[in-house]
Amino acid sequence: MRQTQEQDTRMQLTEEEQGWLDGNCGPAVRMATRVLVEMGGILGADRLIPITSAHIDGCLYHGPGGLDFAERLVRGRGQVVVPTTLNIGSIDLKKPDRIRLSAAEHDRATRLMKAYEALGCAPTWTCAPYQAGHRPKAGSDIAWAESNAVVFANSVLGARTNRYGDFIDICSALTGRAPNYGLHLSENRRATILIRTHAISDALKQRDVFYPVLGTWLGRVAGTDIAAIEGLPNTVTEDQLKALGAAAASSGSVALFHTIGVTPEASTTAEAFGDVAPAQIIDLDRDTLCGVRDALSTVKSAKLDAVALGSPHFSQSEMDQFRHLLGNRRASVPVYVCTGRHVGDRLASDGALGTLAEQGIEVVIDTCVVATPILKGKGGVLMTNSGKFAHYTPPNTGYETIYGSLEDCVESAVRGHVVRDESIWQ
Amino acid sequence: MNTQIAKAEVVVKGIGSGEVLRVSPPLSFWGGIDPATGKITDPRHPQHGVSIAGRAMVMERVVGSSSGSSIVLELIAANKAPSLLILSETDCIASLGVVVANAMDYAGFPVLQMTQEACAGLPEHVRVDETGTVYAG
Repeated sequence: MRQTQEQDTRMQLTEEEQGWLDGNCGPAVRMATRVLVEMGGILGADRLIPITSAHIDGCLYHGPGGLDFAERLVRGRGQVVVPTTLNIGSIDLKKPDRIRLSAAEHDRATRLMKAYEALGCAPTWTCAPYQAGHRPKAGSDIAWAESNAVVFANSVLGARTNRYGDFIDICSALTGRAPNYGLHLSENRRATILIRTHAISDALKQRDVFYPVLGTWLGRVAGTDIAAIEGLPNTVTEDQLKALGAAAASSGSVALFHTIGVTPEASTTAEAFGDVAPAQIIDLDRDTLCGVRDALSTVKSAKLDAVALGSPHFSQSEMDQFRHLLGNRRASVPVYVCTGRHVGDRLASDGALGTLAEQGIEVVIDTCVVATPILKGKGGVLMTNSGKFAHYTPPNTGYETIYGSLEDCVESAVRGHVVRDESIWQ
Repeated sequence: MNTQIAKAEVVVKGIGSGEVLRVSPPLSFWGGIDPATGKITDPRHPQHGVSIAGRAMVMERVVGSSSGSSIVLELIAANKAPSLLILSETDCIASLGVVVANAMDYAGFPVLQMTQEACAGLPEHVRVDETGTVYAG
């Protein structure tokens, strides 16, 4: 028989933490500690551990309950005690009219974003905080939400977080604590599946378009297990690993992967597996890869209605690459490029935002086209270079999707119909 | 009436009763259920259009995004939540939504864990108490 009360007492709280639960630090800290302690019991944690960083996803509006929660924390004198960044909100605060919500929802979504700012979170409004200057140290315990940020923090930075989500993220930020379980523990961070990629050409592995497909496949075969990928070039870029992780976190529930010789907990195969033999070895072949690539598109169409880029949010380097490919040409269909202020502010100060607007490019800042109603059309075919957008576009927007490289997306946008270069997959 | 039929593990304590609604295959609260109406909105789900509001919801496990916690809180805020939830696998998504609701003094609902075999034996209408005892009627 398992009871919440019994579980509460099983969590070993420090005197300080017990004091928070008793209200010594105000109502917000009391509520946050209560949530952490009850969830810690359910998750089987023995205690709370200190964290050094938080990233919050709870700022995306779902309804009045979540707004009440955040505003209670503000009224209860809540302030984050560790560096804390904010994931996307429902509103592009720099261009709020863009969002097609009802007036009441628009108001509440904005209030929610303001409440999280009032709690002391940095208004980064990005799903790629790790490219906006928030880079926790390898080995540090953190509490991050947003599945792509979690997988990047664990895999590429080597920091330690579970797949935290709404509420528990801010409760951790307000107390500087997280339940001690899962990926905070070294023994749970080792790979059990070895992925071999020797059948895939080195030329393809150099290309950005490979990584969302690899990630989508990885999510399907690994699920929640931890895989180590062998055979990726040591020139693999941070943006490629970001795309891999984001796709894997949306097709499966991947929270951590290793790439042998590249990521911090996998300098060797032995390190990645903790000197234990892999429980499973999977060889990736080209046919499988092409099958996964094809399944990222829900239609075979030449017709094109929109292009969406930037999931996760574009980095400076991805934005530069996009602008280089576009040159001085104009798009023939609406193109949405999602990014954060870390990139958008520079575009604004360079005068590039105006130029891009004239070229038919909408730079969406603070939010994202699959999370809130932005797309102007009534559906149709949307092309993307993102595995995550390909996954969420049909259920969230009603659009069909076509997956292609960034080069394909730009060419298609300019010509107004779908263009795909298949040669790289041969 | 009031026949004890099973003993479940208590995940989140509470009392509740309702007509049993078996949701299968398991779904994601986020993207699967409309928080304002309690209806199943996933167009691919065979029970699309069915409301979970006030029902004793029985499901093997909770799948999908951790934003499901928010949907559970919104269901509770809108009075469209299930009256109780019985799962066969460990869950922290729906449970978190209820834990937060309880911390805000909203009227949450009990979350219980029972084997699939035990769930299969549930009658059409059940009631649960704070100890996790499940009664018919």
